[in-house]
Amino acid sequence: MSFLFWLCAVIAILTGIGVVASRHPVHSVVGLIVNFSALAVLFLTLSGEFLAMIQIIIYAGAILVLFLFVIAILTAGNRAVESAPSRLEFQAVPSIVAGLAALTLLAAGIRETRPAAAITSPPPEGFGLVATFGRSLLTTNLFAFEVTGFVLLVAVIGVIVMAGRPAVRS
Amino acid sequence: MTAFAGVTISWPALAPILVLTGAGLLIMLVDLVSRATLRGLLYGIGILGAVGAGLTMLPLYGHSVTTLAGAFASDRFSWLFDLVLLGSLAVTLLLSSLRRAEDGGSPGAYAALLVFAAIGGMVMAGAANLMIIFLGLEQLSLALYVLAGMGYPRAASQEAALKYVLLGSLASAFLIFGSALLYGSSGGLSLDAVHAAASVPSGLFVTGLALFVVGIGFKLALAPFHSWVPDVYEGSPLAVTAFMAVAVKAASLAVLARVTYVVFGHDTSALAPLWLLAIISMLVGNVGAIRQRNLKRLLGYSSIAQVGYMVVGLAGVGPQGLSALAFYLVAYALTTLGAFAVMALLADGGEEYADLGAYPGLAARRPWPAAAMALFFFSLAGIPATAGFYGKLLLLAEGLAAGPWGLALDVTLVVGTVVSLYVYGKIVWDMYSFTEPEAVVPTGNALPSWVAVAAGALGTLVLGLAPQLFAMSQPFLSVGPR
Repeated sequence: MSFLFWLCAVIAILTGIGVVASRHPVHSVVGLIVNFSALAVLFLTLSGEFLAMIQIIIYAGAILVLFLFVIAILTAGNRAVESAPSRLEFQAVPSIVAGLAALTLLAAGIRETRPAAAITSPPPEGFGLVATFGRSLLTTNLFAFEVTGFVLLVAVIGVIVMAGRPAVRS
Repeated sequence: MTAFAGVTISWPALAPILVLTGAGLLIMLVDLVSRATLRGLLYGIGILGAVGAGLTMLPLYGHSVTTLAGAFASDRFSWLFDLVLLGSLAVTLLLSSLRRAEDGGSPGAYAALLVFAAIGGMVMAGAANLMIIFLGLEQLSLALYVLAGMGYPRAASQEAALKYVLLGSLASAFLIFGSALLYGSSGGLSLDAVHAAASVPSGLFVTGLALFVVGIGFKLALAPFHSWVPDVYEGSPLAVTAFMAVAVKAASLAVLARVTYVVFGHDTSALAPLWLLAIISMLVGNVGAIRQRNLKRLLGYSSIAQVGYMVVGLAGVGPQGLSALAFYLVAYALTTLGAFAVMALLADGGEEYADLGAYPGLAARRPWPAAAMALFFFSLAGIPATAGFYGKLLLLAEGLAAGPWGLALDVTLVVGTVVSLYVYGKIVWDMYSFTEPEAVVPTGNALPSWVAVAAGALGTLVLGLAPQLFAMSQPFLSVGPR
């Protein structure tokens, strides 16, 4: 199990870096698909069977395929943005240094771990099953569930507003 | 009070949010039918929704209810923040109702997004669990990312939206990562569970808390997480900037205060980095304001400093510190909304008169707006007889009671106030020096803006002259240690 964890963790981090660093959006999406699949395996090792399936079907499947469509439509006939020279050369070195410093601080903090007993003990009966998942969604996490609906509504309104008008060139 | 599968739901406690949600959905429905011909109706529904939500809050005063499996608390503390949020929503809708330049030609989406942003803020103010805090913040932020870009087709507005969404998402990532680590160290999402883990802090807990504070500090624009403020404030539509300066800060402060109070109780020694952020904010905000030539940017820097002042109230955590913070927040909301209302009043068509070149000699041409602006600047600086003065006194008293860090905060507060006296005094001096203006004379004269200016001025004076009206010394929070 430990080997599987490290394998998936390393794949997830490497593909994550690839998503950001890749200059071609299609490569980013492919990286993201691999990243999500690695995360799904991690969920599986934590007995989150339902979550792992959702991760594969909805995210790696449906949503990222939509991403590919969007990229194909947006970039058709346009000069690719990624071929333009980078205008952030000056920021590259300081941001890498700052990122590594933040990483060091995080590692130093997390190295000395004392997770709560509820985290280290084995999961309760029925954990990760659809029934348990659904029940918690509609009882203990009811408010979070409802608020999420409105967060998505706000995002939809925003997309409609921004998509419905031509781009501005300054 | 209904129970559903073991979860109790207190409808009165949720009524303000439900009424406002209804108003937001109604705006979208009416917009569907009217196609932007009934601007006044759309904004009117929003304002009525805010007033209606305010009315449903009246019976809640003084009551403490925790509902929905401990996820949402309605108490005196969230009551006050909800009031500030509803007030800023109503004022923002008033200020934008007559200005087509604000909503970029889609008033329905604009009004609905403002209403949903305010709801997100109210969710944050009552959030008693890490997941609800994040979701409320996302609802508020997502709506504001779009609103910042509503000043279509101005390129500056597009730029503001892009900068806000990129930096804001980064902040959200910090917040959610921090929440995950706090969950890992405490084994529960509720703030009470996090409180239990705080007694023997592990490396996981400290790291999680640090990331959480960075995320909230970003939204609050505490220095050094403030770099987005000037550009976003300058580029966003005027009324949206007013909403950002008041509502976002109120909601984020509510989260910060509740987390501080519930998790740490009276022992706030672990929060020393937060006091350092407050000290840097007071200095950066006031010194940064000196060189600004644009009033929106200047008020942005001013808001950075003002948040630094309010964090002083947390240093003396406990009912007294929280009521000092609450008083200052109300004073800040009144004066900042008032100052933006004066700008909206002078504004005319697409011209905002944010350039300070339009203000010299203003008193001779527009005496009443100039007088109101001077009053708001005096309150922001903390001149006696204004609300800001009494608020600063309360905060200074809290700092004095809070040990060496409190003293350092107090000294910085006084230094910052002296610098800000120069910043605001110079503009007031310019307005009352009878010189020829460098720019054109502002001619705007919209009635809704007058209403907002009058309300702000009245509130600032009443709180400044009779602060005892705002007597709030009882304990504020219904969750956590008492």
